Amino acid sequence: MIYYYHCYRGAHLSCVAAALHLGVLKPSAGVKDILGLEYFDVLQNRDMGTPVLAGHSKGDPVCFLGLGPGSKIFARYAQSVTKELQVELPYKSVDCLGCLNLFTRVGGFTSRYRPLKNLGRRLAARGVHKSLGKIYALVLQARDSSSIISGGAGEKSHTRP
Amino acid sequence: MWIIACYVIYHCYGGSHSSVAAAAIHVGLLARDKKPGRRELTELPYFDSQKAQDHGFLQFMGRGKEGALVYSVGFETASAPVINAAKNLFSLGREAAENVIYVGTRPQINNWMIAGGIISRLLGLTCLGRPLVAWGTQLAHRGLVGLVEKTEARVRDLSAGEAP
Repeated sequence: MIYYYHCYRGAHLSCVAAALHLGVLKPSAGVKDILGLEYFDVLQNRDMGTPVLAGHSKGDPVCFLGLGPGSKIFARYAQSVTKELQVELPYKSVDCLGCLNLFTRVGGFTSRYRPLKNLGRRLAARGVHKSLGKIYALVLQARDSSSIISGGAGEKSHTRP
Repeated sequence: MWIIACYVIYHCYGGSHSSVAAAAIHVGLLARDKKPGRRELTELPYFDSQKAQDHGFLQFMGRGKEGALVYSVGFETASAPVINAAKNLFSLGREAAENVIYVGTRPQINNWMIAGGIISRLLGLTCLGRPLVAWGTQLAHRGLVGLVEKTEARVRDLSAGEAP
C-alpha cells in the first residue's frame, strides 16, 4: 500500500500527517515539535506534484505532496487511470485540506515571503497544532481501513478487485 | 487486429471542448481536411457536457489508426501537479506508465472557446454558450489537426522504440 498524504503545497498539513503516520510526531506534540520537523514549511509551489518519501510504515511507503487546486481531481484521475490501464496499484490518497484553518492558511501564505518567513512558520505551526487531533484521526482512518480491508477500500483507496 | 501500443490522453480545463475535439480528430470522428459543422461538433460524445464533478475522470473516445487508445480529460488548472503525481505514483508502485502520452490542448484554445465554455458550463446558459464554443472550435480546428498529427508522430516513435 502506498500512502499519499496531500494538501495544497505539501508544506504543512500533509507533512505533519506523514510524520504522525510514521510515529515521528506524537498526537500530543507541541508547536515546537511541529516546527522541528525536517520537512515542515519546506516544499514550495514549484514542487507541486512531486511526492516526498517520508519513510516506510510496515514496509509501505508513506509520502506527502502538494497538489495545488488538484486534490479532488487527482483522486478521480488516479482511480480512473488505474482502471483504464488495468494496473494493480494499491494506494491510498488522503486529502488533508479538510484540516486547514485560518492560522495555517495565513501562516502558509506569509511564510512564502522571506522577511515574514519566521512569523509565517510559527503561525502555520500553531494552526497545525490546533487541528492535530483532526489530522491524527485522518491518519488513523487511513491506516485502519487499509489493514482491515486487505488491499484497501474505503472512499479514497483504490485497488482493482 | 491492433496491438495496443500506447494511451493518448488529451487534456484541457474542463474536458469538454478542445480536448474532446482533438481526441475526436485523432480517432477519426471528425474530418481533418475540412472544418466540422456546428452539428457535427455538438453531436460528439462528451462535447460540452462535462460538469465540475466530472473533472479528472478519463473519457474514452476510441482508437487511433496506429492502435493507440485515445482519451480526453479535464484537469482544470492543476494539470502539471496531477500528471506529475500520477506518474510518481506509478513509479512508486513499480508499474510501467511510459506508454501514456499526455497532450495539453490549451495552446489551441481561442477567446471564443473560453467565453462560450464559461457561459455554457459555468453559467449554465447552454443555448448561448454552445454555439459560441462550437464557433471557436471550428476556428481552432486547423491548430488541433496539427497537434493531433504531432501526437501521432510521437505514438509512432514510441511504438518503433518498443518493437523488438
